[in-house]
Amino acid sequence: MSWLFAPATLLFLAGGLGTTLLLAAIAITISLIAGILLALARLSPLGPVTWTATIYIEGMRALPVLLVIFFAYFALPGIIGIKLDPFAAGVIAMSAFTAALVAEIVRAGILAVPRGIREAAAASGLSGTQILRLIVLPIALGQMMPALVAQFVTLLKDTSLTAVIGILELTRRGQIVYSQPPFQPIPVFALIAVIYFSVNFGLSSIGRRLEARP
Amino acid sequence: MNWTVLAESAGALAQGLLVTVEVSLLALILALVLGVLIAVARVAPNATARRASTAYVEVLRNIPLLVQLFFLFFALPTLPLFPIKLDAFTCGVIALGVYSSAFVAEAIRSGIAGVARGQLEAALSSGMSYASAMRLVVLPQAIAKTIPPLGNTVLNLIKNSSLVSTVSVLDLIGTAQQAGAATFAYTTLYAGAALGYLVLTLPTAFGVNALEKRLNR
Repeated sequence: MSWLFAPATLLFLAGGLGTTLLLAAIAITISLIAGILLALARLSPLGPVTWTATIYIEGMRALPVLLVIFFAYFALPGIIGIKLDPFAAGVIAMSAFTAALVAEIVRAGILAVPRGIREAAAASGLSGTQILRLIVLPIALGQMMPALVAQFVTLLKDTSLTAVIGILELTRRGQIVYSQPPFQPIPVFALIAVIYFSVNFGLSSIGRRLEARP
Repeated sequence: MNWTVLAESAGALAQGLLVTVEVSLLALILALVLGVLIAVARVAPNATARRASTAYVEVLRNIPLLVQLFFLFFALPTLPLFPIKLDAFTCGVIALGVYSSAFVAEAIRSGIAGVARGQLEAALSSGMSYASAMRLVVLPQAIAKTIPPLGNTVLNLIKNSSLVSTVSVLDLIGTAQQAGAATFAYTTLYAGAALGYLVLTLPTAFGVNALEKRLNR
């Protein structure tokens, strides 16, 4: 097993984990911002805005993330006329997909903020935007942390799918390692499974701790 | 949209849709059977059963399905003493079914845990037997609470069935990908595949919502 734990191999896999985490971190950031905007759009009083957001959210949620990844890599460049490298396509796909799921979590969080809090803020003279930014969103975001963390664990697992468009993340690099001598997939899979498990279990535990807080 | 390609590929896409349905249905049966067994083990009085089933759920939930699928397809045939060679379709069904069983188990467990203990105690103190208290009071409420997460699990299972295309099964995505490599009409073919998934997921989501409303009445 010394081949697997050779410094060069471990470094190669660590780089894959780095790519996985970087892709996930960028997608989490973009999808969080886009998800909040989508949720606000869906809750907006303007009919066309609500409908556009609703169609986007429900459409995305009905499709496999693999289809979105393939679309971003193989079809999108032809539509927008810009060549995308695998990482850029991966970021676009993971962000666009997760944004729809984040939007639903945020919407549920906003709807769960009691009316009285909003009315009290309005009565004390805050404007609509101020109420949303200073009162409603902070309360809602606190309440939906467990659901958001669970969604981000799903995102981290789904980044493995970008291996099929050639991003050299953890799963793809694992495949490269076992396709070379001594050609042994079992130890390689065991190692990358342990790595994924540790990262995701750690993230889930943080989520559970947030859930346990009153 | 490239209508010529769409017309030429419609038959193949329909065939792919059928494969997606087959993989999903077989995996769903496996997931439900395993999931119920694991859920029962998770609330069992036996501590070893509880620990083992918790480990099962946590391990499966926290490792990407793609890694589990690749393990079955690429690694099992290299087992030293008894190599296990399964075809891609079988690997897909097993990986998807086993992975989803962890989520089924969690949905059922949270449903049972979601029924307040006082409900069972109230039913017992009003003279019901344990069996009828379970059957008439606890389980109906548990099932109603289980429907939304279970429905979500089924939807995710249908969507996750697309991963079988990565081991060369010609499901909806696999078919679109194959035809795309030949014609480069990716946008058209993905739109066709997307329509296929919508045909499966939207009625499922609608059915789950309707069932939830009915049970919560």
